[in-house]
Amino acid sequence: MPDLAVGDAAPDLELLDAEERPVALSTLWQQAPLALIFLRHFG
Amino acid sequence: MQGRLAEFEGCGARVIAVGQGTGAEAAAAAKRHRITYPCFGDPGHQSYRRLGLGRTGLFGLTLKPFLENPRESFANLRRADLRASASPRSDVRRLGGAMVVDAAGRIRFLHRSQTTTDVPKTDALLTALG
Repeated sequence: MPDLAVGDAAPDLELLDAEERPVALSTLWQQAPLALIFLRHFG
Repeated sequence: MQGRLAEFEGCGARVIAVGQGTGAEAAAAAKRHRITYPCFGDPGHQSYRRLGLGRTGLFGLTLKPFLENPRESFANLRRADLRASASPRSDVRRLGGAMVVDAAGRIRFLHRSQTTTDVPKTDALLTALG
């Protein structure tokens, strides 16, 4: 799988909300541009 | 990030956080850290792997941050919740990062942290949002 770079299509990843329901990233960016922060841990 | 949330909203953008854990763990962490933007869980770390976010070694996890940035490292240690960090779903060696995606689904900014204290600059994210 090639490395992602600026200008590429973002992967439509699936995350879990507070109720453990899957949420597709595309449903979020279609509403508004997204800034995603990937945390190292919850501590 | 939380302190500059209004600037992102002023750009018409949303901020979300992703953590290595369940959705409930993400929500609990957001509450504990008084984060008002949505926090999502990724217990299988698939998003981290797909974005190519790296992992650090034992030296990078322990001594290196204190040698490079002692003040921030001690501050991080003071406010850390070590029980949450020790979640079985959390890979303590995994590094973080950031990505900006526009409404068409294109990546406008991508930062892969190289060390535990290498955090994406908020100004860079805002610039990417235009």
